[in-house]
Amino acid sequence: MKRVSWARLAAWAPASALALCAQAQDEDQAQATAPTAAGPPALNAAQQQAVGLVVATPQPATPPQREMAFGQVLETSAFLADAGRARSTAATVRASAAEARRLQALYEAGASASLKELQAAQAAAAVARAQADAAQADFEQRWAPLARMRADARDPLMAALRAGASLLLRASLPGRHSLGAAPRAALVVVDGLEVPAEVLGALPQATDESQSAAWLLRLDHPPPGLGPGARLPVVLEGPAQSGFLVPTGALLYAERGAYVYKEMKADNGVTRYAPVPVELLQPLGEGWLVRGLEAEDRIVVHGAGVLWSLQGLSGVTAEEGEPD
Amino acid sequence: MLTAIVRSSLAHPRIVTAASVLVAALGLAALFTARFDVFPDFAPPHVLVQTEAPGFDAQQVEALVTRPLEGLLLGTENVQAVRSTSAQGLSAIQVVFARGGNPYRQRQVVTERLAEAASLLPRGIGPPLLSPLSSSMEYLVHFGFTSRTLTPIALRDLVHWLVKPQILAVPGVAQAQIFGGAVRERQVWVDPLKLAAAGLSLADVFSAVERGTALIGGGFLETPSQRIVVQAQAAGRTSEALAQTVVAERGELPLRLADVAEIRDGPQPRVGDAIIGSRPGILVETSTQYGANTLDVTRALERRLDQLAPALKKQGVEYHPALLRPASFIESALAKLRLSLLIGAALVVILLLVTLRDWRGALISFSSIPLSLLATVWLLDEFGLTLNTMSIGGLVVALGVVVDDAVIDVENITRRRRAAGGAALDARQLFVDASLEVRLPVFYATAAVAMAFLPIFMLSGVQGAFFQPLSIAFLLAVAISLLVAMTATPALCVLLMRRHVPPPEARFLIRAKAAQRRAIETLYRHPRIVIAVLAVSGVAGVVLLPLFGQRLLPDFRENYLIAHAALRPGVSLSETSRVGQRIAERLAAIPGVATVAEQIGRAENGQDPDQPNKSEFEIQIDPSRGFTPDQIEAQIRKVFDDFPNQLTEIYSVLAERIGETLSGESTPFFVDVFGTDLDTDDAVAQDIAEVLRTLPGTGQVRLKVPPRQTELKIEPRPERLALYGLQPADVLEAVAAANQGRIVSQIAEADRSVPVAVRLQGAGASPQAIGALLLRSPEGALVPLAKVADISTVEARGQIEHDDGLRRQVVLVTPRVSDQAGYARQAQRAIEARVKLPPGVYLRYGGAAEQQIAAARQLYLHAAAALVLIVLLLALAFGHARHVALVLLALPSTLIGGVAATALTGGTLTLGAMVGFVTLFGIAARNTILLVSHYDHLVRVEGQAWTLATALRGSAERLTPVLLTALMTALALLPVAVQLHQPGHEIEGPMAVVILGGLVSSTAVSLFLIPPLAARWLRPGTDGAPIPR
Repeated sequence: MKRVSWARLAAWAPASALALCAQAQDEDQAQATAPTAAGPPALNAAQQQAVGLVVATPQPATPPQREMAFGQVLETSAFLADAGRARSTAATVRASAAEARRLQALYEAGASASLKELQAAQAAAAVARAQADAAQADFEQRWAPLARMRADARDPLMAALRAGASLLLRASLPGRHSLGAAPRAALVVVDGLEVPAEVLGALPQATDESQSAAWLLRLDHPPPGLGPGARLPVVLEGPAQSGFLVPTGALLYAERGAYVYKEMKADNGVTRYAPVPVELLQPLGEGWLVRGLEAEDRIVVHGAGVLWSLQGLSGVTAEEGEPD
Repeated sequence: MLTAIVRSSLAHPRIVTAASVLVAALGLAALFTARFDVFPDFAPPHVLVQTEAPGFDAQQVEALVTRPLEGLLLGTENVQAVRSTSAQGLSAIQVVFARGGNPYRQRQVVTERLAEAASLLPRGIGPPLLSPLSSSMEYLVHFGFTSRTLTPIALRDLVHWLVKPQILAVPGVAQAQIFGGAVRERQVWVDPLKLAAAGLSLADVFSAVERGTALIGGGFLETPSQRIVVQAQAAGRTSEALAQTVVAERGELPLRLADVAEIRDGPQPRVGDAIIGSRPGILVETSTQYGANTLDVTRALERRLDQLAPALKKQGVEYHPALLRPASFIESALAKLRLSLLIGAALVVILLLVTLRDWRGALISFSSIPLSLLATVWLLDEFGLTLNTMSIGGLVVALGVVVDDAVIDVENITRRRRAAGGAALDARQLFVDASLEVRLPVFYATAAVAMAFLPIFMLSGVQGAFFQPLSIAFLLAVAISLLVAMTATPALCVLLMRRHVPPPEARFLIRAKAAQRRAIETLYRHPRIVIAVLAVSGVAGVVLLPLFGQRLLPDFRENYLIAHAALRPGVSLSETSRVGQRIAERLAAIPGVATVAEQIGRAENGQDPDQPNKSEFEIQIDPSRGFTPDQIEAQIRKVFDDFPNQLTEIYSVLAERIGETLSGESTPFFVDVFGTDLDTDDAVAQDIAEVLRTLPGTGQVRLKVPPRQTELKIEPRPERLALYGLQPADVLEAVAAANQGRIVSQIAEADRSVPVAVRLQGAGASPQAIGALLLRSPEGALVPLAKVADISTVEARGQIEHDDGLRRQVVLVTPRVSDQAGYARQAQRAIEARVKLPPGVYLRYGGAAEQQIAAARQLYLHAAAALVLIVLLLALAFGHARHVALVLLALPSTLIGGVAATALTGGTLTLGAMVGFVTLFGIAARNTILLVSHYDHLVRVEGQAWTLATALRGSAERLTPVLLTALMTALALLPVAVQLHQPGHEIEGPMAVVILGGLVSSTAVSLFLIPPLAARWLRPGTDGAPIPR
């Protein structure tokens, strides 16, 4: 019996011990890996350096609002013709009214004016007035800012237009049917050069081509060759806007809008990065003017994609850490 | 018949010897010309259908491209699986066929089916393209190019137009995918303001560009004596010329393209990138044609590239060779295996000389080994099979039997001659008697071994594809060895040993026989001990064997590792490249790393439909620095610690390819979650991931299908469009032109063509810019896109996976345990117990671990059937139940040595180790069969009474061949077992270890335990009288 036990031990012990050892090694190795916690993006100093994270304070800026418009050089002759028609019809009104008054006086004095002549003169005066009203309305409709202009201001403009020293431009805002406050300045982009223009006022009439609201601009000293019919970009500058300038690379987009990553206070050598929503005001150079940041904020300007990636993946990956 | 063959060989020894030399020469020639590969073609025939859908998002691709194409392909004959990935701009469908079919025919069937696709796909979708037919390994060589002087466009031009054609011209190269650089295109950047000012539409520009670049052949002139070809040239061949193309006329003046657009050469939108070392560059990935010889093609390709390198250097281009080169593994594996076999062969020769003390006997025995193996190589080559790790493994495993065949005849002849002393003998008759005495038992023993191999031969699926070449090589070698033993060996004996008197037996053999005699006499008196030892060792072997961890294939010790990394889906390509470059810099600085290359995203019409967030680092290990792949892998993981959440998996090249082939996924275990609602699938997959995280041994768990990514949704509003007289298509066309561009034509430039793309200015890299994109109404009014369409940022699917037409999410697991099959079982149980499935969702388990379980199940089933066949064979051979019982009793005990050896070397049972056990089983059966047959011979032929003395004599006479065979096999396999952890020994190493361990137990069993039992209970002959004590 003893011999049998010895034989069994001899056969079992080494092989089973070795097999169990091998399994135990596997399990030890497996259990040595501790799971890492998933959470908001957080990096230690080595990781920040590795992924090339750059953090900076955003620059405050107060640039004017800029809006792109579609400029079209208008026919000066059309304006002059409209203005002339308005003037001539007004003169006709005055003349016909004077004639009617003269005949009225003669008729009432029993002089040589018949009732028929008086009535004809009155009718002619009415026609002239109607024509003058129509011409004026048309003029105001097409050239409202100029129509509202005082004659002593308009006449030099007309002279300049006639001389080719100035041009009128229609700066349409595609898709817009209403205008806000008048822009403070306008810049006409002529072959890449921004030439300042004067904003004369809002044009009430949309054209078939633009189907949008527009401003009337006056461009003095136009470059030779720029003439009626030419279309060119216009930048309209509005009131100044305050915000912070952030590079395009710092911005991320999500369902609820744009945001940037703000550096939080380091805890145990680990820095967390909180997403901060920002309102995009306008593009400026290689960046954007945004609202929603504080002057002392430090935001990620390079490597934001890694943080975004980290934030997104931490929620979906159940990944175990590696043993140290 | 066996007698006739032996007699005939003895009658014509010179002819037989000459024929043997001829066969050996043919085998040698075949060895030099044979096709070498890493593995047999293990992948089932498959076709990848890729369809580019520019501008479409994943869900649109799924609905408009993938679904219709799947509908066509699912019904194709012989199709086993259809898996698809729908991603932004790309539909990739993999059609997997059942094994055994003709891959060319199957491709043709797919092509015919796809002919119907044109009518099903929407406008703007490219034609479905089939990937070239490539080998299972697919990878051939990956190499790179960098330049400090050329622009990315110029470098790409050079590689695309100069290098790529030369690569594809190398016979055996199926495909060359290019990552990185920038693809040149001629870009017509239309200014919407100028376009509107001119009163033109985008369609006018498309038409003008098309007309301006159209090339219409000029034909030829025929004079009475000459034929002169008219060479017509497209007008817009250069940017300057194209700019002069007339778009329309306004009054008297022509309106040219330059008036509304800017024309310049620029890069196409990129879908991938590459980092070579730590610099941006171009990575070229080549793949082998189906059936090509990897080694030959690799070397031919490298020769071609080496020839090109000096010319490229003059142009400022650096060539980075062998960034990933599977052929290195083949070369290393073959070199190591060759060395092991040479050392083994030398040891065998020394042993033969020491044991037989006779150079003639040693020469005859030894010569039959290379003869058998070379003849096998010749036949394998003739049958069109490659020489690979598995078939060479078959030859290594066959060594045990081949060696035995080689020894047994010579030893029997030598023993008989020694027994005869100096008496005059009829040498020819002695040879006949000696040979025929062992021939029939050897035949049955060989048949038993062959039957033991049947379960391996009958494995199906990928396991079958892997191990059938092994079993074919083994069975062929064993059959040829039997034939050699019946022909060449007796013939050589006649030629070399006719008048030769062998020297006396070696002293250590005499001592061994004495020791054996004492042991048998002792054990004869204590039969219970013998039975107990047999029973305990047998039960222990059988019980312990399934306790080992199991895995299908071992880790291959290659000098290349592939680290997969992924950022969040939706991250920009440039950010992935930037981070990738930083990772690559650090990886390249790891001591022991020779080169690092990174592929990002995908290649145009490439094999992998990877998005820009994904990248693969191909890391070459420099073995001369003395670091193991495991150490390097640990360092790689350390580097990735600083890049949190980016590393997904690290694989060797072979493991990756095998994993992908096994199940379509590269991880050892995965769970498919099927269901039509993707959010529900995600939720279930998350639950499963949580459950798996709690299991011990779970390494990395991740979901294959990425979460939603940010998308900019543009929904045209019909009521707004109506205000401007716009059509929805106008809006989408403008959006496409702005963001995607439209390839309008191709222009010929020297020997190449350059695409001409029309793009709309104004679409910058921000969602706001899209809203400001100006559209032009039929009246000419400009309207920003935001006025006629709702533009919103949404979270949407970036990738949608299908398997057999069903939507799926996949939970991928890389267990950190060697017992992957055990882990898979445990995981399955945990999931079934703890995850509640909503209606309409179901799971499927897969991966190498699952395959291992299935393979083991199949193996056990077939092994049981084989056991029955072996019993029947033994019954046929012996005709006595006791004989059969004795042989069967001995078998389980032989396993214990193999079990102990396996436990000592890591305790994991790969299929290679299982093959080792089968071989062991065969060797043990063979020893016992020959021993019992010899007892029969002594009683029946020599007329001995069955006594203890007869049993002792029989055992003593069998000691030399048994010991010699065991020692020779052990010595032949020892170098393989010792180099267990060397490249090339991954399959054969565990086999050798099992066989070595098993040889100890099987030799002990046949020399010491079987004889006392046989002496007591066996009834050789017919009298059946009990043996007197």
